[in-house]
Amino acid sequence: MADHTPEDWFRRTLRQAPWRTQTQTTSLVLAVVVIVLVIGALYLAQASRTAAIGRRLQELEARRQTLEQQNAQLRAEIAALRSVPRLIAEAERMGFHVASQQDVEYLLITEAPPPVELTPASPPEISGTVPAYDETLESWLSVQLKAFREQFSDLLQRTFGAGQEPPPDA
Amino acid sequence: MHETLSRRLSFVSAILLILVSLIVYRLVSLQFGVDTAYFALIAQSEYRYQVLIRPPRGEIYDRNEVLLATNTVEYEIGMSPVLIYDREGTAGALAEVMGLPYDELLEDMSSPQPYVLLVRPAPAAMGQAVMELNLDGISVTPISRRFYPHGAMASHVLGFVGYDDEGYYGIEGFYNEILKGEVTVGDQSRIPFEATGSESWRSGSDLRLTIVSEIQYLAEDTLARALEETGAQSGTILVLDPRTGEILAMANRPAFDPNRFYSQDTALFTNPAISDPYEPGSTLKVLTMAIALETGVVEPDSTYEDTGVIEIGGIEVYNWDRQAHGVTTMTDLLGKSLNVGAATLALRIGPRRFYAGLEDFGLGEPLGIDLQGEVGGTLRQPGDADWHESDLATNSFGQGLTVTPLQLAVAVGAIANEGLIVQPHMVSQRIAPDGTVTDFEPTVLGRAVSQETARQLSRMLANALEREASAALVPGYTIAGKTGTAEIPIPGGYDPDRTIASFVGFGPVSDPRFVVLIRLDQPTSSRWGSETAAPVFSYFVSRLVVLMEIPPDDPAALASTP
Repeated sequence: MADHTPEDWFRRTLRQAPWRTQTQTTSLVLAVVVIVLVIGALYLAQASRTAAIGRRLQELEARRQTLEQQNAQLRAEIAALRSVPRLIAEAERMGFHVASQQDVEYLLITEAPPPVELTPASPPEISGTVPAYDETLESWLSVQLKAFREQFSDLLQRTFGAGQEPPPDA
Repeated sequence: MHETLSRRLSFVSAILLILVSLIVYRLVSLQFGVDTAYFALIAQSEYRYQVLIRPPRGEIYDRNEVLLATNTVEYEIGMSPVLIYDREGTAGALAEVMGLPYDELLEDMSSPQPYVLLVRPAPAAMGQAVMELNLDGISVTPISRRFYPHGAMASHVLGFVGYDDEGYYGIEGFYNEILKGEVTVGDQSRIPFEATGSESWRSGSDLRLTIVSEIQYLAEDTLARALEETGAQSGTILVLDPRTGEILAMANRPAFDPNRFYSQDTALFTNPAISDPYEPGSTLKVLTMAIALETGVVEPDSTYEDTGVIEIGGIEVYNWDRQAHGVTTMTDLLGKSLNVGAATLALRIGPRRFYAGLEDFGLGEPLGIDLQGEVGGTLRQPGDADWHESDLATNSFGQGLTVTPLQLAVAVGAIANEGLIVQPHMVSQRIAPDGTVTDFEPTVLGRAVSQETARQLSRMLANALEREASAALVPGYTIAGKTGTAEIPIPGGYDPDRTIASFVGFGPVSDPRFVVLIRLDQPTSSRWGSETAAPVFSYFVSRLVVLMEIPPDDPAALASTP
């Protein structure tokens, strides 16, 4: 009969049932497993991504090396094509000949202006004193707010057309 | 029953726990124990490797940015026979691309060797074609190589780069450290997870030379023609700017192809213009006269009595023509190239002032040009064990002492440069990998003679050429210069048949822009410099002035030329 007292009722009601303890333990284990799985999955995802980027980096390095080699090869080929012995031989084959003294006429320009002597520009004047840093949090905030207000009013203007300027071809 | 089961489970659990603990202990001990470093090293050796990073070697340009030396790629093509599965197909593809016999390739593929070299060095086109085939078991390895697009042109100036990537001779040798940059050892990983990209490296600096390709080509072409026409075995043409000491051209024959240095005679690598001293002969009379004028023992209009022979230190000195020329002016002494006159001047100057004067002109010591292998020639002086009194006489007309072509050109350049000796140099600019440009400024080594002496001597040399109607004259231009015919010393005297013919001159006399030295070794058409080297000088300078865009300072003479 004692079980029917209010005190017993509260005790029985509040007492931990055995199945609740098991559920809690299971949940805890499951939670740990899930967390470990999530961390593992995140790690794997990150690692595979890094590896993929690394592989891509290696491919790009190899590609860059190949391009540099091809570039060097092309530079060498161009240099060989532009070499003086080859150019002169090619010019002679096309009927040109090396200019002699008789082929060259020098013009005496008596009224030619004298060569301009370049004078270096004077360096910009630099103030001797550097302004002191006097910015405060309040002044910084007011500047930011002012910039934000200007951007906002600009957005309003463009959106609603208030005070819209005529198009350039008008 | 229940208790028995429980005990067994506990026992099994305990065993498992012990085993797991042992494994964990071992893992921890491997990870953090005393042998960690050892195991880490073994692991790293499996997936990490070191590579030698050779930065691109700096390029070499001429004055007008014409590329003289650059880098290119060749390939080594080889095979690993065990990795080739389709032998017939692979051999067929390679035979088509590489031009090798199909049967030989098949035979190579049967080799028990792990690696068989097919071609090294393979041209870039072949290497890239094989690479594109992407065949199993075929490896194509790039090899960096120095390339000289002009072939043998300016080979003595440039030098070459050996298989060890080190520069030898010329600019490549002298500026090797600057050109090759910083070689580093990079740590690479085979695991993509650890890929970090290239190690940072410092590329070599580029160099811009003072030589002009067109002038260099002209010098080499002229020299080749001269050797053919005169029958000379070898020769040198040197062109420099007397005001700055810049070498505009330095040509030697025979030359070598730096692209194929490995198959060339190593004796050809030495640059005769700076490394092969010779007895200059009568060209040295220019310096004897300069010292005589400078010391005041003669004036430009002084005379002396030429008896055709003079005895000094127990030896008799004769003129080249064995003739007596009577009362002779200083200009005629130079024009007729009289040995007796030069010896007379040397006697009047005295040994102390004479040799000091030659040293002031840069003789006896290397000038410090930025090329590998420069030597200074020999200049025996009073006090030296092997100096004899007669040396004063023979030295005055260029016998018994040796100079390099460069030394003589620089010394005569001092006459053209109003008495100032300027250090010759080959590099005008160094361009660092970050684009920073460093200019190489001319360096004045000292004053050889006064401005007045230099001007007087310039006029005398020009007049001497005019009076003798020298073959070195160039229509339209006033040229100052001197011929030389040096006998070649042999044990016990001089070779009676073989000579070194030369001419050194500068122009235009009113505003000298170039000094040109021509040297022909053992010409057979004539033994005299006036008949071999002087016409070559005229031919060369008449084209040089066009390339350098130097207007004539005597247009009337040019107009009268047919």
